[in-house]
Amino acid sequence: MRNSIERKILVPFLIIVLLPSFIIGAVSMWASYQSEKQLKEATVSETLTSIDRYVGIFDERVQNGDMSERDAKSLVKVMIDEKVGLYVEDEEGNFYSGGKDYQAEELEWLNGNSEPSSFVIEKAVITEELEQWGWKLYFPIEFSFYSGSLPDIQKYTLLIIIFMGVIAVQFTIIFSYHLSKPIKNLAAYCKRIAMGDRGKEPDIKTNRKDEIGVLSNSLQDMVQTLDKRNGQIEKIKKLNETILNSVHVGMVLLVEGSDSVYNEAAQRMMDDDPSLEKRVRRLTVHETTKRKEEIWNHKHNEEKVYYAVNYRVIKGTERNRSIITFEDITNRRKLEQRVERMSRLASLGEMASGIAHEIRNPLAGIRTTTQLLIRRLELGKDELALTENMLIDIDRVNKIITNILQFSRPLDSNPSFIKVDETMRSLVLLMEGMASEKNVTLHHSENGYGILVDRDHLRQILLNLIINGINAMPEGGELTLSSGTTGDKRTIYVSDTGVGMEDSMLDKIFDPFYTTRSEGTGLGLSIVHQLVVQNNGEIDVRSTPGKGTTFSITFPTRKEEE
Amino acid sequence: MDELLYLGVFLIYTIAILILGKHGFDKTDELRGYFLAGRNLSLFPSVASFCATWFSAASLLGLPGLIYEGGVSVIWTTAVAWLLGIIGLLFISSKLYTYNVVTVPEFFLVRYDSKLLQVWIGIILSVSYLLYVVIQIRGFGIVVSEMLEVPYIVSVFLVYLFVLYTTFGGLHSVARTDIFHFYLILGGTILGSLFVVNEIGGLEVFTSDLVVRATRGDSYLALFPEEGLPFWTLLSAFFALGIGVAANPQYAVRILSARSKQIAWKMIATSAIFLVLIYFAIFVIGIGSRMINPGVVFESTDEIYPHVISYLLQTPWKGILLISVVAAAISTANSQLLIMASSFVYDITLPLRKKKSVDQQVISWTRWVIFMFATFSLLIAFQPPEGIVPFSGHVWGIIAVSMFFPLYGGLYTARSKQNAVLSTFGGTLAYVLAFFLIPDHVHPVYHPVLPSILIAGILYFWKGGTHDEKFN
Repeated sequence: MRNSIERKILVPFLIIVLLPSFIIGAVSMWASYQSEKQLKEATVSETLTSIDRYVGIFDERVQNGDMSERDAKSLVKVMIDEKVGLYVEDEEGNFYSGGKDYQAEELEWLNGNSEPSSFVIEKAVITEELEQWGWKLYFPIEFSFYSGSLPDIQKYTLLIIIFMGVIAVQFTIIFSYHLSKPIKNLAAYCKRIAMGDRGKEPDIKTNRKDEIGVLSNSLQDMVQTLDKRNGQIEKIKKLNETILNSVHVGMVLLVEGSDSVYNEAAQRMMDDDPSLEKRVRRLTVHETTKRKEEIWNHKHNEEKVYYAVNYRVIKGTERNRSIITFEDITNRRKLEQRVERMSRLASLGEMASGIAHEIRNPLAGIRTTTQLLIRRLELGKDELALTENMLIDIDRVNKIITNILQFSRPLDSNPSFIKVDETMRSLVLLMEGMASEKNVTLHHSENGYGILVDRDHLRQILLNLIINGINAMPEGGELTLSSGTTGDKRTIYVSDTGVGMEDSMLDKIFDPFYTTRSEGTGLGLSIVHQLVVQNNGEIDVRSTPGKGTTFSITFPTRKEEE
Repeated sequence: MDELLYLGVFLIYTIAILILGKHGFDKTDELRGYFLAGRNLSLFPSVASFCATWFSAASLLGLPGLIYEGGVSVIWTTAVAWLLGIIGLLFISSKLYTYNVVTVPEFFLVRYDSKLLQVWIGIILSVSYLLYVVIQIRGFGIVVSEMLEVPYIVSVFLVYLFVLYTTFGGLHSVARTDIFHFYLILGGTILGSLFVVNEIGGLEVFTSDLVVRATRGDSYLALFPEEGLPFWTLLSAFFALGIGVAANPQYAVRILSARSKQIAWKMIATSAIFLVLIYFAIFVIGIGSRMINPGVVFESTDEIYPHVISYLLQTPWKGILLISVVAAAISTANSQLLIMASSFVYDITLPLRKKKSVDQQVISWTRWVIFMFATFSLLIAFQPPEGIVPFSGHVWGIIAVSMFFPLYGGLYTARSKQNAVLSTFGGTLAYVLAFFLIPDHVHPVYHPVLPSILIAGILYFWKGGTHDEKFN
């Protein structure tokens, strides 16, 4: 890793360790070089001075006549020959060295044609004037770091530097590795935590007392605390989720600019009812902070369903969020409707019975008076016919009143275990004639169910529903009697393929005197309803205009039958 | 001037080793990572590590000297005998790879369910490799003191530093530096042969000279010695070297550290090609050196090659030739030091300790043991006791008799723990007796390995032993 802590420790330490070694090495090399140079210069100067001295001595002898000048100069040239690299310029400007004569232009070091001094090679020419003869001595010398005896002298210094360098670098690498290792381990541990892996603890000695030990222990404590809290949060979250998913109320959290969140009940209800799903998906975050309530209703599987919907904006969050709850209240609604209907029927019954009572007494008086008048008055044939018609109508009114009274008076029911199939079979036989007249085909399916109901009441109920069904099929059709089971209850279905009814009509069909036929009394379905309720049953109706209607009546059953 | 050149090459080598050796430090959290590079080495690092470990200082220093002295016919008792061991390694690679073990002695624990065998083999390896590491350090010391003209003690101390450093990072570091060492060995020997041929006057002169000499009947160019190759010498070389190589844990570790058993097999097969190539180059160096100057004065054949490089070759690249010998010494020594330390810690100390230890702790101990063994080897190498160098020639013999049958037989037969224990102890005992009973000067012909390997084999296949029910 380019930016690892190890490298950050290693590089500066390597510089700190290696730089002094190199500096010491370089200084040592330089010092040796300088001392070598001075030594060489001193040696050359010494040589030149000694030749100068000899020249002085020889010149004195020449002056004294002990030797000729020619011999003296020859002797000096012999001395010059012996010193390799030593040149002499005579009074005529000729150069001589190592037994050879040179012209000035031949000597590169003299006329500056040679390469100048550089960092690696230093060049110098040491000179000495031999004043007695007008000669001049030249000794060109070169110094370099890698020539002469310098490498030999410096070999051990260099070796020791390499040695110390290797040891220092190795120790630095090992030291930086050990120093950074626990930090790397801690970093790896943190990375594992970030990735959600709690499995392995950091590879650091638990008994470390330094800052890394403190850091490692604190980090582990922190992670433990975090784990504990996360555990608690997870627990609460699970509890909340359980509650949310256990309730029957559908909940939706709408978040602006993000997907909505649904609880299980919401999801289930939406899966069951696509119309509900459509409506819920259309919902957007509401701006009002007030809680709003609505009742949604629509048809689902030919049955009207009701949902109580609440929604409100959640405050205190950056993004607008709304919570929406919806509850399926279809059953509650049906119950309410049933109670309302029963109460309405009861009121109507009471009223009708009161009216019937009030009408019946005067009607009895009218009838008696009419009969008295027939006996006392000698009426012609035509008048007699009229008065008799009066009596017939009075009887008819009386019958209606009797019916009304019968409807309003609670009937005695005597429930017994009845085989549904038998009743249905006998009723089909009974009604076949009437049905075929109206071009209606009767069907019934047998399932062997038994129910607890008053036999006569059941016959009355089914008879009324069959007649109703046949009447609802003016163009003919099919009427089916069938049965089914739900839990410990049995349901009888009476379905026709008739004209069907609108929803508005469905709400009123059980009301007394509500009829769509001119010849009907509007009491048939009211009586059916009353009988069903009296026998601890429930009645329901589903209808689609143009397709038909299905009545379902549900009764309890005996335990032995199961 | 040459010394400065060598110093420069040596400095570059030092820097490379410091950088490459560092590599393994970060990958040594687990034992498998430390001892076997996580069993994840791909083909090239495996081949490089195998070859670099194969060529020790003894091969690169000794063999050119032996050829210089004895001629081409030494091939039979050296290179051919060594290469025969490769066949054995090819044979076991796939089967051995299936064992999920960290060290070679652990194989004996897993296969024979015997702690005794594990500890015993651990002891054999610790002692044998200690001797061998001393030889590597000594070889390095000779070369570096020749190169830099420094005292021997100074140069052996340098190898100590390198070996220690490269071993600290475990097999990851060893394998990484081995790649570098492999390049140096391959390049060094091939360059060496080219320089020698060039010094003679080019390939044409070299070959024509060879033809002339061969026709003249020069004995050192003969493939077989004049007096013929004694059967027993050949057999001794085969058993002492070939079987020693075949059972050598250095190569078994290379098999175990490969990424897959296919790679392990390919590693051995590919390495064989490189080994032949390098041996060929060494033979050219040996013969060529003799052709350049047949009159080199030497005390030991080990001195010939450094002498040829230093005084007979005139090229600035000769620093690489000498450093290739250094590479051979260090690559073998660090591998052996690692096996020695792992045997001591993992196969001797841990089985005898009752408590379980965590990986980090074991690695830490191993590093200390590496330090101790390396220091001990260094101290011995300062002044090798009389006889240690000749005795080290018996290292492969001892490894052959103590390990060959339990290892190969363990992989291919159903012999039981009892047979393996009898074979390893009986073989080793027989070797020690034969070593003392057979006079030294007869050893090249009748090597102590001959009777002892026979005894080890008989004891291993002795019918009185029980059949191991677990073995499938």
